Amino acid sequence: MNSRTHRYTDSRKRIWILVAFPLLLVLVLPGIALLLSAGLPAVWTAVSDPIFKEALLLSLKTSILSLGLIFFFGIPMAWWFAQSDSRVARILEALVDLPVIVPPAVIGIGLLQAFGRNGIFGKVFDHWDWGIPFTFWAVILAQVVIAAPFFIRSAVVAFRELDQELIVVARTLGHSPLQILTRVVIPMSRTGWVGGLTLAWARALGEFGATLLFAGNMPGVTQTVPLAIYSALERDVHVAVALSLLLCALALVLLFLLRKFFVPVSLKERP
Amino acid sequence: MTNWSAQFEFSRGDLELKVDLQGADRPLALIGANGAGKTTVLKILLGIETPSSGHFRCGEKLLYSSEKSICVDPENRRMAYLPQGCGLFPHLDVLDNVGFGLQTQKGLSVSEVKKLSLQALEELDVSHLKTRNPIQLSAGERQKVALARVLTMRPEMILLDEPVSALDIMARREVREILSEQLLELKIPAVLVTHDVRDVRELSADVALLDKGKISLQGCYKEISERRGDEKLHPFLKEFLGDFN
Repeated sequence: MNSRTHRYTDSRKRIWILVAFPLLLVLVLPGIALLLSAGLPAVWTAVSDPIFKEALLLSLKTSILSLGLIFFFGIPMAWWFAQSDSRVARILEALVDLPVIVPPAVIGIGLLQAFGRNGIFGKVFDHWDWGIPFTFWAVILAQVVIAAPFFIRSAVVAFRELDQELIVVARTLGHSPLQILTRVVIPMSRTGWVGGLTLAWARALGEFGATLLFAGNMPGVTQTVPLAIYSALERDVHVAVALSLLLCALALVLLFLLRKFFVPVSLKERP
Repeated sequence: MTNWSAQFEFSRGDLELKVDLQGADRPLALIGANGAGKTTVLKILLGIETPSSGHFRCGEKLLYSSEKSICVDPENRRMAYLPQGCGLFPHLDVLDNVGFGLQTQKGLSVSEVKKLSLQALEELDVSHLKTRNPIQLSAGERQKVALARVLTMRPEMILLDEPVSALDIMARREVREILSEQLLELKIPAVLVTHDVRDVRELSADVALLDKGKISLQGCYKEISERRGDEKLHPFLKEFLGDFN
């Protein structure tokens, strides 16, 4: 490549960077602003606040439990969607994506209409004296509904991309459909569904609207970190900023760990 | 000697099959134009696709019968399948790939599975590849590993879908020799989808031509090749036999 071509390629690259810069700035700016505005004393105050500890523990507990539920029920659902040609599966697959496009507040109201005292299932739960709204389980349910579509969508795409011949081979080698799911499908499509699981975790950890409406904002019971930030804003904006920064840091650490331990290093293919 | 016979009807989209095949220990080469449904025939024999009617018997075992409502699951048919791309699992190393089928056999411990897998690899002179990942192997090496896996299963029938099409000339010759030796030793039926008459010759296979959804001819290679000059011989067969004496 001569120097003129080199220069041409470099200037073309610069154009892309220039065009992308405004969006990049908007995406990165909130994080930078949080970093700059939260002083160390404020972070320390936020960390030592008992409400923060409770909220953090609740956020971790609920998001991990939600993630487990999403994985356990989501994998068979995604496998069914990926394998089935039926119209019912296609319709349900589209419906599962609904929480992605509908505002979380709408989901919160929908959950209240379903499980609230006057909701469709409310009377059934009331009969057993087991109310879901404004409890720990309401937080879980809100997170599952909001976050599951991200996992299911990624898993369906990953499963569809699998070489179907390998499934056939596995069956001829004596493996049952369940064994194939656990020994072939899940490990082979790991890169795809871990990406979805990561997104789902991030979404569950940051869930606000549906949780506020369906589970409320009770410290120690249903107050997750995003809700604690909302409450802190009314008391001390510096604490809210520090809490936001800590939530960002926590999300980054979790995502890094998830990607490091679950996504395999790509193998070098022989030429 | 294991006799087998398959007679079935199958329809999906534009593809309509009305197939009648039979064989014994000698391999059967299924030939035909692209899209004729050769791979679908293999999938039906494997039990992956279900025909609308017919039967499939291998030896004493009735694997499919629409009349008797019998359809044995693919995992219980003891039929080995070697697809075009070898079908090795990229998330497992070579040794685990070979032992993958043995894991389902009752009474075998983990160490026994490893030992048997290693033995199978040694038989095909590829035991030095045991810790490698399949995507790091050459096409010929992959084919040998896939064959080793098939052989450890001690199947009752082998189905091969263009087993040498992705290989270079030297590897093709080597894999054909191995296949020929192993099929002779195992004395089990085999069905092979191929576009190469050399496969038929090397494996001393019978030939079945799938055309317009039907088996338009089935017979011994030698007899068919003697009819090369016959003007009534199917044009596809003429082309198939054409460049080789």
